[in-house]
Amino acid sequence: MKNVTQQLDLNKQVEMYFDQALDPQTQDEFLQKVNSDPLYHQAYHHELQMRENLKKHIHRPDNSSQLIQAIKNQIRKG
Amino acid sequence: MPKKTSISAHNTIFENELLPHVSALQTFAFHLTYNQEDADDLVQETYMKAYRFIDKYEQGTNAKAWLFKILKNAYINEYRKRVKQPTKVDFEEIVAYHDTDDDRITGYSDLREEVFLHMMGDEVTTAINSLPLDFRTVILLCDIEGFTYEEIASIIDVPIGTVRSRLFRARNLLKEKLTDYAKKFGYTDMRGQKKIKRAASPPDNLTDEEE
Repeated sequence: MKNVTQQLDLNKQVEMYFDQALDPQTQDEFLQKVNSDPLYHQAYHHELQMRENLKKHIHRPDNSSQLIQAIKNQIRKG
Repeated sequence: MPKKTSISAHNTIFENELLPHVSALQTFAFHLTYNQEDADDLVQETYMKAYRFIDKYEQGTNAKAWLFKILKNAYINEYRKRVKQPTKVDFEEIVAYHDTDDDRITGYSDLREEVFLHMMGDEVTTAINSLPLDFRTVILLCDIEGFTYEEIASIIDVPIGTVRSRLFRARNLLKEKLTDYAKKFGYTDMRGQKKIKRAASPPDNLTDEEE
């Protein structure tokens, strides 16, 4: 059970790191562990990959330049 | 509109600090309204409001969070009334997650990378759009836009604890939906099979390490 608890703690810390919820000191300690502990390294890269996949696969409208122009026009009209 | 004397300064702030966030706002608006035209209207309305109230914006502060808050309020207060389309909330899904233990499963640690391998189209978008509004919102703000818990709490006007618990439930729901999509494309979660085999074995074969 100790391993399970450790894994859950690790997952929680990884999640908080990517959520920018760790204080600066804990964040530094966490990054040191990522560089030295293979388990931390693996968990870090897995979470990074998952979040990048979400960002990569989500639909993003691609007409922002047209919309910017429309906004500017509307402001000029007052 | 801003006071006449400071129009030039306001226009500079508007161009340099507010307009660069159009693309992020469009993505957020698209996942609230479900279509491009309504999303563009909502973003345009957001910028008109931002311009009108630009006196309230402090130069150099968090423009992106300020704009997202305006957009979210515009959506809640005006857009939804205008289109007369109530938010679809699946209360059963919310209730199903009400009693789950927040410390058991966190982040995307138990989501397999293989889940994304065969995705060709809008599976992630469809999965996110199928989440209840409150859950969808925190996923978009945190995992897609990278806002902190504090910023999200300010944007959606809820305590930080609520942001965290919504995120936990939203991620679990999203993981389930993504795994379901992946299964449709032939993905098999081998860990699940392993667990089934283990469960069929005599209980005294289990050790702490195996769990």
